Amino acid sequence: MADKYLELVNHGGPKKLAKALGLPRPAILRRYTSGDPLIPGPLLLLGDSAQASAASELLLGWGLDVRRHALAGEKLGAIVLMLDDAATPADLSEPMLAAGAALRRLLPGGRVLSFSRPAAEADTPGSAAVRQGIDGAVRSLGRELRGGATANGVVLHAGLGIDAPSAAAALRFLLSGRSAYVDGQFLHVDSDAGVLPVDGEKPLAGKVAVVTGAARGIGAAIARTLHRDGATVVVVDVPAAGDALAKVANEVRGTALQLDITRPDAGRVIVEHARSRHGSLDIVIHNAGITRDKLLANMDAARWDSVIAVNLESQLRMNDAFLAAGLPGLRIVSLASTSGIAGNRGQANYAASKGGVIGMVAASAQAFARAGGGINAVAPGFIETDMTARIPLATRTVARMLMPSLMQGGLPLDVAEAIGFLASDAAAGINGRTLRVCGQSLVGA
Amino acid sequence: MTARPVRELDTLPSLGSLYATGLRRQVAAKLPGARPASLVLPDTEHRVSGVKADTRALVAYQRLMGDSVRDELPSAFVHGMVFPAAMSVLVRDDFPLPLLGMVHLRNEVEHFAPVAVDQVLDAVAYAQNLGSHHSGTTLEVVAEVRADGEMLWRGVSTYLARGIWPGEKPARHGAGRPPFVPPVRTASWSLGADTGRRFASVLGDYNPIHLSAASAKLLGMKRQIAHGMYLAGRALATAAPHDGGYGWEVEFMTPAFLPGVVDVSIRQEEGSVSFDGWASRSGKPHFTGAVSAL
Repeated sequence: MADKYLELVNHGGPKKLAKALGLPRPAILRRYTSGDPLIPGPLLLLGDSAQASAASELLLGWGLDVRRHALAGEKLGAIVLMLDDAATPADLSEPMLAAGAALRRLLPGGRVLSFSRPAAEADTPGSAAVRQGIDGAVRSLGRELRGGATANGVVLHAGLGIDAPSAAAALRFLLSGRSAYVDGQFLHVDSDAGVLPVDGEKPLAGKVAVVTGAARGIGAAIARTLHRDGATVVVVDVPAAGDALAKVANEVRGTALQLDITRPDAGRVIVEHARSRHGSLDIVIHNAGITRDKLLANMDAARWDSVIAVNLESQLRMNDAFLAAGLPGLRIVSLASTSGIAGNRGQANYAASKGGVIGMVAASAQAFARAGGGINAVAPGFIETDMTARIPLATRTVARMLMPSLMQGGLPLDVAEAIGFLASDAAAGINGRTLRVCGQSLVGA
Repeated sequence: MTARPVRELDTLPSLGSLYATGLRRQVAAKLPGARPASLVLPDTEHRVSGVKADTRALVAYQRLMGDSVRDELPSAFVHGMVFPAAMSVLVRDDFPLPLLGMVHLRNEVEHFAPVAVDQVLDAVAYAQNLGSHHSGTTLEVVAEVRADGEMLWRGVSTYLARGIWPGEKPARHGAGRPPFVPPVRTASWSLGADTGRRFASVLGDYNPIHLSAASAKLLGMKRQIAHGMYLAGRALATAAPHDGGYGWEVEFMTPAFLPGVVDVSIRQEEGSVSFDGWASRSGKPHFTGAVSAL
């Protein structure tokens, strides 16, 4: 499902032609490969907030070159803005303008990251104003970036510093090539829960993970990524997809479980399989989902109900079973969609189910946290899959290029990387949240 | 320019054989009556023509240093490339000081113009300026790199032969340098025990003091130490501009033992970029240097 246009405009003659004609030239994104440096050049740390020196120590400890002032002419791999102390709107001027002056030096695949505090917890309207303002400023900055560079933020809740495990993990994830298609997003760190991995290359070592809908597309990519990161993977799909499922299971050296997840006892079957075959169940990825698109004016009950049953009700039921089974430290990641945030013509049923997932994870966070675990969602935008390959070419080209600021669709791997991060123990301080993986698509908030 | 006698080398000699020669000469020098009567440097310059960079070594070097892979030769890579010519001077029969165990004190380099990877180069090396130091004898080894007669690169390396004095042993003058105060840290390099071996495999410099604890101990070191040029090269990877037209210097204070963590500061100052490296744990300075436009 390679994007032919993207390949074309990044090589040789067509590249020059596209440049000369001013055609959009989506960049080849910097994606994670084991052994790569975290970022492609030195990091510029701006702002002198309370957390700045702790941030500097952390980044130096990762072997990065950290500048407080850039050297003349030096290219940068990342810019980190420490805005956690911003108390009035005027406080934004200096660091934002300093970041602006450094933007042209950002290397392809570079990163801009802010650290800020949540507006909802502000004590005065002025401080709420500047905190919410950061959100708009960073997202706008993200739309100025080129060459596959992205801008995101980490929001530290009250009393938390950058030394909170999930703050460090979020920083690392957003700097790395694992977040290639995450753009214009804010990761909220709610607590100091979480443990950083012993081996950064295998953050899921020793974990048993279940992925539903894993026979193809995003589900298969999730299974591969969790396996790469060290987990033992159980792949689940409907019996009709049995052959494809077995292939994925062999590839990830895991086990296949043929199961219709809408069955009332699906949760219990999954727990039993994971426990009897692998001894525990630590991670569940609710990926299985269907679309039955139709304008609502023409929608029949079968289309509506089947989408809700597969995409949402099955997850609610399985989650109840997991909670009842008392699985310690269970981490769940559900697949939402940007359609569930912004809506999409002809997808009222799908959007209801995916918006429902966002509500479900927010409301389930406490229950899972009590067992030492957590639940979050990932909301993909336009991802290049078998499903999207069926969209007519012209519509697809427009959808993948004009809407997101990265001017291209994402890959299943991009979604899988975000899921792998949220499924890890390092992300335990992030709970009840939804992370969009959409290349800063215009669709949605 | 003074006219020195010239010795033409067919190709750049291998450093391994040079170290072997150096070692043989050192053993021979230990025999009774073998010691030269006076310390006089040979004035012959060694020349080698038609030198070209090895593209694969260049890429390996750039990767090892965290530098971007491009077609101009980094300044410290040029040093490594012509180092065998410089070394061949130090193992001449009439060279008065022992090669092995010699301490690398400083480098001053003028990198006049970019050196392209496919450029055909001529190199010249000679020794000069025997000097007196409280712990031994210093000398300068000069290397010059030209293409079509145009000087592109010129480096002066200063070495110290410990425990040998041309005349009277000079007294340690004054209180020495002021105590080192670490500047603001901009990087930490975690150097594994294999750092010396990895650098050696790229540039061929298999000096035993960099390779392993055992081989370093033979030459009086506690453990293996990082190559000075490795440390300088890493600093230059971020501190030096990519094109030519700049000069740099580095002074080595204490050896960086491997494995270890070197804290580093690279900062913009008026007209130059300064760099320092020091031991993370003890705070002892390893090197200090600067890059500035020519």
